[in-house]
Amino acid sequence: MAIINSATKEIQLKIVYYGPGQGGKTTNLEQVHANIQNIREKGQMVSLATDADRTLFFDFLPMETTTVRGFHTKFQIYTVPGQVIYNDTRKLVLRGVDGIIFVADSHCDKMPENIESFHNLDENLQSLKLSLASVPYVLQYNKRDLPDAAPVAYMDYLLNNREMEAPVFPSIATRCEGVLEAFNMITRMLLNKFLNEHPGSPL
Amino acid sequence: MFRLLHRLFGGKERQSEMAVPPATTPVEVSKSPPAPEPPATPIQSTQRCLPSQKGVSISTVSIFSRLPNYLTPLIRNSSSKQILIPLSHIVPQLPLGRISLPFGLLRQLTPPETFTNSPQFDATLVDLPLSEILAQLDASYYARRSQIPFQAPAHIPDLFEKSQEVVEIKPFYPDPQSASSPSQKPSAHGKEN
Repeated sequence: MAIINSATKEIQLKIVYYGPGQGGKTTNLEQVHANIQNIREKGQMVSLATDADRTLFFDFLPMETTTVRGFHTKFQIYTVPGQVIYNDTRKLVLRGVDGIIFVADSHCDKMPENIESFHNLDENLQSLKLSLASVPYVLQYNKRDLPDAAPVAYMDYLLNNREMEAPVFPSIATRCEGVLEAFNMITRMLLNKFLNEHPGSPL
Repeated sequence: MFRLLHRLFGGKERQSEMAVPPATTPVEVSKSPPAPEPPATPIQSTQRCLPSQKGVSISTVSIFSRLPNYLTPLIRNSSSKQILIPLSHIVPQLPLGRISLPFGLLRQLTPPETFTNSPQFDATLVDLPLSEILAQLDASYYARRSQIPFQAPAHIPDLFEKSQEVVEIKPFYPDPQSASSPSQKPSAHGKEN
């Protein structure tokens, strides 16, 4: 949930990269950190990984980019560890989430893991009294350069088949293709939701 | 007279065998192009592997590479063959993101010499190459349900463009002062000057 600090004139929004293990969540965050230029302030990216570069706890990137009605907007961007065993950490990271970028692995053999991770996201949101219907999210189909990439239509069938269509971004995170597009969209959706939910506020 | 009767009835038996193959008969598809001369029979029509008809053609080699280690010793003939997987086995599994078959059924679908004739692992599920299946399957088999389409918030610009200009979101709702004056319409979005 967005944090509004009237004293410091700040709005703080939390975005979480979610998805199956080794799907490219941390790579996404690294690309956002490396390639975003037009921001007021970019913090250091904090990453806690194992020796094999698997996210152990979470990655974190704070950034301040824009003003909304005179309030500075800060984005706190997290990734979750994708491995199944770290579900408690995922729940912890999801607390207070405002928007989600679900990074799916396009490799055909990873479809069951994508489905499992998406269901896990749904369950974890429900345990926090949230839902995919209330939290804005975008789908990012990563690793589109793989020879065995599943058709986008099939991934839509598996992951984007709810009552409300979600925006989809095919991507190659290692080349920063589709990364900023997905990130732009989730920030737009968050700001839109925020403005709709605070129509008469002094903001 | 006997020869004549034998030819007549014997020939008919062979014809009927060709026209209605038993359900468990493995259907094998040669990689070489089909001969142009013979007329199409029911078997040949399934060999074309049109997804709208019977099934999807899969190479045995791609299945072999997915077998668990304890099943690989059961391979007797590792040469590449094409087998037809019936759509009735594929379509119901599409929502799972994985297509698998019991090893026993796989043994029935492959030519007899492909695996050793042991039923020990017949209940074991074997993954099939999804990429090969999807490449042949019409997208209508995995069409989404009708949805409420997503509409991007047009009044909010992209915050992270390539330019280094910082975007500012201006007031979205008119305040009472500006609402009273038509000439001062508040913009829903805009960039910082």
